[in-house]
Amino acid sequence: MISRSQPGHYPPSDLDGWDHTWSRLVSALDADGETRTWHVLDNGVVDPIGTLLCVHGNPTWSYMWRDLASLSTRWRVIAVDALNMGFSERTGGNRRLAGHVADLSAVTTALSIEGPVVTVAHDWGGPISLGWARAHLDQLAGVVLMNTGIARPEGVQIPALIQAVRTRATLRATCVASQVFLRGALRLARPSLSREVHQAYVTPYARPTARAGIGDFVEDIPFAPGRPSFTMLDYIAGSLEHLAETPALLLWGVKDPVFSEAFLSDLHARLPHASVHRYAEAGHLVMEDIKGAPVILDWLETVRSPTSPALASVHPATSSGGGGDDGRRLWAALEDRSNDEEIAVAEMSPDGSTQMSRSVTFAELDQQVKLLADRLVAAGLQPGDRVAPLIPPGIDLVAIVYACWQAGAVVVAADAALGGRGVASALRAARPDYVVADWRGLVFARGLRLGATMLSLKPLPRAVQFTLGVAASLAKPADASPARELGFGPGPADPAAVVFTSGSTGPSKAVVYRHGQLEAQRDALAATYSLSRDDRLVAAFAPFAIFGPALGMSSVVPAMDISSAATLDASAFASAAQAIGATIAFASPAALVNVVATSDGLDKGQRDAMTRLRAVASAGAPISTAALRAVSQNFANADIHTPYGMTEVMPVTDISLEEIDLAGRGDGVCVGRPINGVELAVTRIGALGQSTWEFIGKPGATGEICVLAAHASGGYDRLWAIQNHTRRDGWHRTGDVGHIDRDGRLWVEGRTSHLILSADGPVTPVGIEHRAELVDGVHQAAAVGVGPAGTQQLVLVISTTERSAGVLADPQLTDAVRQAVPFDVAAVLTVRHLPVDRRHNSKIERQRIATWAESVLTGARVSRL
Amino acid sequence: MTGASGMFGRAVAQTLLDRGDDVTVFQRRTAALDCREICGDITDSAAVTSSVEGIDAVVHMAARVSPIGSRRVFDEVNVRGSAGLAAAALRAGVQSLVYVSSPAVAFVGAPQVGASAVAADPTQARSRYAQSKAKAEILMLKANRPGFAVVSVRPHLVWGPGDTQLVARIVRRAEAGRLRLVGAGAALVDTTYVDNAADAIVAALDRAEVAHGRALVVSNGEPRPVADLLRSMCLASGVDPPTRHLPLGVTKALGGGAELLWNALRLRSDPPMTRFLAEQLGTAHWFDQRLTRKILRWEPRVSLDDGLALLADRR
Repeated sequence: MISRSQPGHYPPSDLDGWDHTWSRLVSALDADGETRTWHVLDNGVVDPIGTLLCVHGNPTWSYMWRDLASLSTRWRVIAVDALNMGFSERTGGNRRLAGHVADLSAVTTALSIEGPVVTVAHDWGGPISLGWARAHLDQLAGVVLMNTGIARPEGVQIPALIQAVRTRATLRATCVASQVFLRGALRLARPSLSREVHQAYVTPYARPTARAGIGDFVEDIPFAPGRPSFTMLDYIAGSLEHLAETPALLLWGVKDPVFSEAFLSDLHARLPHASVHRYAEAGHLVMEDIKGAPVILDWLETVRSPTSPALASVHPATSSGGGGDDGRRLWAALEDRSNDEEIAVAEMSPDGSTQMSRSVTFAELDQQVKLLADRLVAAGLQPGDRVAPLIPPGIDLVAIVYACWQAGAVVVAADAALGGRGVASALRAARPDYVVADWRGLVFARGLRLGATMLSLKPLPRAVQFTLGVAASLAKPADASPARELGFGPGPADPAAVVFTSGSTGPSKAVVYRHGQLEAQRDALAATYSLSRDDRLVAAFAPFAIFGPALGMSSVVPAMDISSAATLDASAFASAAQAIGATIAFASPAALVNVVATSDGLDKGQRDAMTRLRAVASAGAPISTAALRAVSQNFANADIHTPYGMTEVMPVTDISLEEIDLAGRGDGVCVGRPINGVELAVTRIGALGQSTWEFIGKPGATGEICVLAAHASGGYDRLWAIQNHTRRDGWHRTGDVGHIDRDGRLWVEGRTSHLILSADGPVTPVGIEHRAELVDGVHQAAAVGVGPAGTQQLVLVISTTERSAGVLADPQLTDAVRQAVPFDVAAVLTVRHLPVDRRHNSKIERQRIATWAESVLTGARVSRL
Repeated sequence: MTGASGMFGRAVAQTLLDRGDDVTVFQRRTAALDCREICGDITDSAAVTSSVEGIDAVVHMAARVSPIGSRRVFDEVNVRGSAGLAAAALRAGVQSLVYVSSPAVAFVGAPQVGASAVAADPTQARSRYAQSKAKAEILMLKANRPGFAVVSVRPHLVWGPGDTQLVARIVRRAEAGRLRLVGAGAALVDTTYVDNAADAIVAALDRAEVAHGRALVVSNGEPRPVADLLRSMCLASGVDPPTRHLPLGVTKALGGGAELLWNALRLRSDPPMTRFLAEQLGTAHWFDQRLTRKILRWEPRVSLDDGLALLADRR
C-alpha cells in the first residue's frame, strides 16, 4: 500500500448541491492515540430534535448525504468522512473495521453529540454505524440502513467482481493506482449520475495517494472466518439483538450486484420489526437513485410519534374482529356443501367445443382441498409461509388456493396477465417459500432462482423432478400421516394473499390481504350483486373466479388465453354459460368487447344461455358507455354493471348502465355510489399537485379520492414509502382525482399524476376531454399539461376523424376545441392514434402524450408518438 | 421617460398621463404627446443630465433595436447610454428607475419553456442587440441601492395597433409572400399586448420598493404555437397568413449567412432572416408569470383574443 499521509482539508466550494458552510475539520485522537483530522458535514441545525449520524461506504464520501443535510430542518445532520476517505486525513496506514468504529466514536465525542441519535448508513457504513450504535445504545433512537450487509447470507458468494478485484495482484491496480473500482462503483447508479454529481464523488480521490483507503476497504471485506475483521463483524451482527425495540428503516436498491436481496432478507430477519422499502428499479447507490432524503425524513416523523400513520395503517380496522359479518372463513361455504354433488368448478375444453373438459362437485372439491392442505403441511409448509401457484385459472388453481388458506399459507397471486416479465418481478418481490406448478411453471420458476421449495402439482418422472429441483409432488399421498390438526386455521388478521397492481400506473406493487379483508370482500361482492348459492358464475375475470366456492356458487372458466382477455370470443363465453346454466358473468372490458364483436355466429342454445344471465359485470378496467351499451344488447335480461375499484380496494363503487344514463354528462366519468360498507371522501390537492390529508366535505369539490372499507387490503409489501403516503387511519388514498356530487355519486376526473398544474391551480383532464370529444371532427382527446409544475399550459392532443395535414390541428378545429373547453388552451395537436396501455387497451397514456407534446411545442423536430 | 416615440413608449407615457402623473419625455424626435418634452440623444450626457433634474422616477425605454448592426453602435446607445442615464439619475436624487429590458437577454438558444427570469447573459445572448441589452441590464441592476430602487422589466414581444416592429414586419413579409413558418410552426410563444406591457411598466414604478434589484419577465401568459400567432396577426391585419414551412436548421443557416452578408456590406435594410429571428420563430418562448404578477400586483387587462380584435378594428 502507498504510505503517504496528508492532513484533512476542505472540499472545493463549487460541488453540485454541496453547501460549503457545512464543512468542518474536527481533530481528535484516533483508535491508536494519534491526533487526526476528519472532514465532517454538519448542517448546524440549532435546537435539533436529535442527530442523524450519517456514515458513507466505499468508495464514496459524505457528499452522499447532501440532500439530507439541506432538507433536514429539525434534525442536525452529522456525516463523517472516514479516515483515508473523502476529505479526511490520509494517515499513511491501513484501517480496519474496528478502527473505523472507534474513529466514529472519537468524532462524536469530540463534537459532544448529545441527545437522541439516528444512524443512517450505506454500504460499508452499515457495519460501522451499527458498531457505533452498539456502543451508544443509550443515545440510539433509530437505525437506517441502505444496501449493506453485516454477514454473508447462507448460499451467497462474494460477487466474482469483488473477488477478482481483491486478489493481491489486482487490488492495487484497480483500487489505488487507477480509478477502475471508483468509477465502476459510481456506474452502479440507476439512473446514471449527472456529470456534476459524478465529478463531486470522484473529487477527493483524484490522485492515487488519496485512494489508498479505497483499496484498504476492499481488502478488509470480512465475509469469511479468518479475515482480520471477521470477529468484529460477527460481534456487530450479534449486537443486533439489542435493537429489537429500536426503530429501523431498510431502504434497498434491488439492482445491486454486490449487496443483493439476500443481504436484505438477512437484515430483515435480524430486524423483523423494521420498516422496509424495496426499490425494484434502483441500484447500489440507492440514496442517489431514489433521492432518498425525503423518505428518511418522512420516516423520522413516525419515529417521533408512537401514534404515527405508518404504524396505524399496518393494522387497519379489520384487526378488531375481522371483516365478514359472521367472521365466516373463506372456505366455510365449501364445507357447507361438502355432501353436495352439484358442480362446483367446471373448465371448458379449449378446442372450442361446447363441452366441459373437467368438472368437480362441491363434495369432491372439499375433499381435494383438505387433501392438498394435508400434503402441503406434509411437505413442510408452516403457517405464514408464502405459496405461489403458477397454475392457469381452473379447478387445480381453486383447489390449491383454498388448500393454502386452510393450511394457513399466504397465496402469492402472480396473475399471468402481468406477462412473463411482470410475473417474474412479482415473484422476486414477494419471495414465495413454495412454488406449486405444472412442469411449465416449474421450468419458469427454476429460471428465476427464487430459493423457494418447488412442488409439482402432478406426478413427474423422477428424472424430470430431479432436473427441475422439485422437492415433492402434491399428487402423491404423503409419506407421513397428516400433521394438520382439525379446527386449526388462520385468524382474520393473518395474511392470506399477496396480489399485484397492474403496473399501468407505475411499477407493479405487491399488495397484502388478510383473511378478514378477503372475507369482507367476499361479503361485499355478495351484497352488491345479490349473490347466493342459487347463482352460477361465468368467471372470465381471474380475481373473482377464485371467489365462486367462497360464495357457495358454481362457476365455470371459459376457454381462453388467460394472459390476454381479448381472446375470449362469444362462442366460448356462451358455451361456458350454457354448460352450467349461468346466471352471472364477470369479465374484463376487453373480453366483453370481443364477445360483442364475435356474437354473430352463435347458435340458438348459446343465445338462450346468454339470455338467461341476470347480471353481467365488466371489471378490471374502465369501460366506455358505448361499449357497455353494446354489451347490454347481447344480454336481453341482464343488468349491466361495472364496479370501480383498484387492486388495493375492490369494489369501491358500482354503477349500472341505467344509472350511467341517468347521471348524464358531467366533469369526469360517473362510477356510481359507494357499495355497502365503503366510506368515500376527497382530500385537497395542493397547487403543485401534492397530496394532503385535508378532507373536503363540500359536495362537488374536486380532490383526491380516498376510501375506507373493511375489505381494503392490509397494505403494501415492503414498500414503506408508498404505504406511508397512501394510508392513514385505515383510509386508502387511490391516486385518482374526482368529486362526489349532491346525489352521492362519485365522478372520476383522472389520476393525480395527470393533473394539469396551471398557474390558476390543478385542472383535471377527463371533463375537458369529454367536451373536446363532442366537437365535430374530434375522435379522441387527451388533455395534458406542458411546462413546469405550477405554470403549466393546457394542451389538447386529439385524434381526428379525418386525417390532418400537420401536427397542429387546422385553425377551424382548433377554434372549435377552444370554444368547447372552459380553460385557456395553448395548443391543439393531432396524432393518428392516441396511445393506450397494453394491458387494458383503454387507459390513455397521458404522461407519454405530455412528454411528446412538450417536445413538439418547444419547436423540436416532430417525432412519432 | 426616455424613448416615448414608439407604440410601446407612447402607451406607457399615456398611461402615466391618464392617471395624472407629471411626465417629462426624452427622445430624439418629438413624440407629440401632451406633456413636457426634451428632444435629445441618450448618448449626449449633458442633455441626459439636464433631463433628470427635479425628477422623482425614471422609465428608461430608449434603445437601439435592430436585427443587425455593429456592436459599437449597440453598445454606445444601449450600454453606455443606459449607464450614463443611471449615473445622472442617481446624482439628481431620482428615487426609482424602471429599465425596460427583454427576455432575449437570458435566451441562450435552448427553448424557454415556462421559464423564470434567470440572470442576463451578455456572452451567450444570441444577437448583438440582446448582448448589449444584457450588459445594460446587469449595469442597471448593479446601480440598485437604498434610496435608488432599480427594477428591470422584460416584456416579451410587445405588439398592438400602430406597431412598427413586430406586426408591421410580419405584415410586410406576408404581403410580399416572404413569410415562412419555421419547422412545424408549433413552438409555443408568448406575447404581450401593448396596454398590458404599459400597465406592467407603471406597476413596476409603483412597486419599485418591493421589486427593486429584480428582473421580471412580463407577458400575456397566453402562449400559442407560433403558426397560430402569425396567422391571427395576419388575419387581423387583412393579409393572407403564411402556409409554407422551412426547416429550423435551414432557417438558422440562412439567417446566419444573411447576418454575415448584411454586416459585411453594412447594409441598412432588414435582412430577410437572422439567426436570432430564426430561433425566435422556431423555439419555444414562454414564461412563468407567477412571481411577476405577485410582485407587481399586475394582471394583463387585454386578452390575446381581445388584442387581436383591437388590432383588426384599428386597421
